Amino acid sequence: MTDHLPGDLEERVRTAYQSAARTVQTLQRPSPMLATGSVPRPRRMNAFTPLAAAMAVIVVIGASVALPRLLTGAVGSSQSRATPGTSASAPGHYPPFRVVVTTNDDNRQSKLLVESAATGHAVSTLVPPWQGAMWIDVAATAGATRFIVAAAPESSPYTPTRLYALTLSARGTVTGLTPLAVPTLPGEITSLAASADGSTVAYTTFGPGAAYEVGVITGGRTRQWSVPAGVIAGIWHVSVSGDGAMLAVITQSLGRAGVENTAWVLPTGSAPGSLTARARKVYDHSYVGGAGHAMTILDSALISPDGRTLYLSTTASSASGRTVTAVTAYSTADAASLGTISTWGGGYPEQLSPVGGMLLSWDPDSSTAYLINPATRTRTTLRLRGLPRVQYLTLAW
Amino acid sequence: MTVPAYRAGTGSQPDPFRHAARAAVDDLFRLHAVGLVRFALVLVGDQATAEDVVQEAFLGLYRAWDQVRDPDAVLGYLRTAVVNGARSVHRSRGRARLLRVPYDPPVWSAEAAVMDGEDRRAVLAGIARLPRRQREVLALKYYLDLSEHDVAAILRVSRGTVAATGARALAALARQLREDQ
Repeated sequence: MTDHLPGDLEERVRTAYQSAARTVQTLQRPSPMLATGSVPRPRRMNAFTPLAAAMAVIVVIGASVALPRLLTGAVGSSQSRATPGTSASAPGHYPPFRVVVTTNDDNRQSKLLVESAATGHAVSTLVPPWQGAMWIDVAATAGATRFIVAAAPESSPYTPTRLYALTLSARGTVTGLTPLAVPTLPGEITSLAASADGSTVAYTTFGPGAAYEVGVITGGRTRQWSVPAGVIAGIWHVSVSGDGAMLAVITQSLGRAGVENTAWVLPTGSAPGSLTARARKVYDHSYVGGAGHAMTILDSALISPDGRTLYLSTTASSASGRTVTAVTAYSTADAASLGTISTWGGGYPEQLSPVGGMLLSWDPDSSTAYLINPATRTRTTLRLRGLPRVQYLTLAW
Repeated sequence: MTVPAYRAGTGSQPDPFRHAARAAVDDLFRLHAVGLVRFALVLVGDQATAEDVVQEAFLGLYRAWDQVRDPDAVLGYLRTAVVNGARSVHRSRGRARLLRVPYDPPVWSAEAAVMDGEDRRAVLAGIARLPRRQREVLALKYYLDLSEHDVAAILRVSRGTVAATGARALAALARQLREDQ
């Protein structure tokens, strides 16, 4: 057996990459700008041709179990004043099931799984709803057995996105998959959220073309806002208040000061148009890369059920490399900081998802997650079974 | 305010703005396309798919050209676009593989036979079995030689996450290479 010292392995990785890169000597395709007329389109990725029909099959893996609570004992937390706009959910009352979209190493499988929150075991597996589709995203409602799920074509251009209401039985088996009244979005979805009763669905999409949009579907009608400014690198992490009246979203763009991360809140009754014109900026931070620079990255955002508070997960790296992740509350009314809810070191986890009135901070590369009670500012550590071996692309609980 | 027809893309007159944008993006393509295709290749495995990803990245840049405020940031934008494009390919390929749809084999596979060196093949095959974010960190760090700060900015994660993910990736790769021997 040969041991691989880190320095040796790093050099082997570099050499291997260079060797692979050298196989590209000339390009097989010219500049896309050489096409004349309208904006050129690349050829479709021909490896992913249409497939024979595959029926959606619901596979019940196993029976759900009753819910002795797995989650006990807050750790590493400090008690302080309650955060305005939150309700104190008592630990021990969490939704019984979470729905996750997963892929395994090497991306050989992508599934939508219903997991028992108590055991972490899969209760049901749902295959994509039509031939050549893949699951993209999932959002929880306040009802423990109702979720909104999104699917899209598995091949370029990965649009349109189709939305469904997923309902579970009390045992976690799938009882329904119903298209929404506005079931199709033209762009590639990048995040998804739902109001408490599921009557308002918020989304962010990329494309077609250069469009980045945030939108809501309410009462069978769609209302959208676009992101016109800067070279937008992405729009993510949409969340919506319990009554569907307010949404929050993060944009990332490239500006003069470097990479710019911005958190916005927007009343969903606002007139359609420009996000930057209609929304309120709650947090804005720019940073430049390069060794020796301190920087803060806006990881994730989540609006409270009452719409009055925006929770932001940010990770600050000092020039020496020390990393601290913080969850901080901000007022959606005036962008004032309401204080830090929780902090931890090490870089993981970073993604905020709603779990009832609580905040779940998790990361697809780590089995460790934190359940944070914003009212009491206490934090409970839990393990998400299977991570990071089975990667969660997204999670709703 | 009325948007000039040529900016709105609806006019029948010559479009001087789009013409300039096309020329500028074409220049950038000549300058960076080969390097970006090589970078995309170490992420997705085959040149045809890598070129698809890079073409899409440049088309995105072209569509957003009127909003470019900092030309120096364009290469960073293109690298981010390539990483995001490669993720879409992997999602798609995951489904395709599951459903037994053929696609071009990666350059490090025995089928491709375009890359020399058994050890290099083994290393890249091992990397291909790592989780997505670990693959991305390794490619940005060891192929493009970017700092952890720059990797963090492109992947939109913290520097700590980059460091931890890179360490886990090397550890997992070392395990795989030992097991393969």
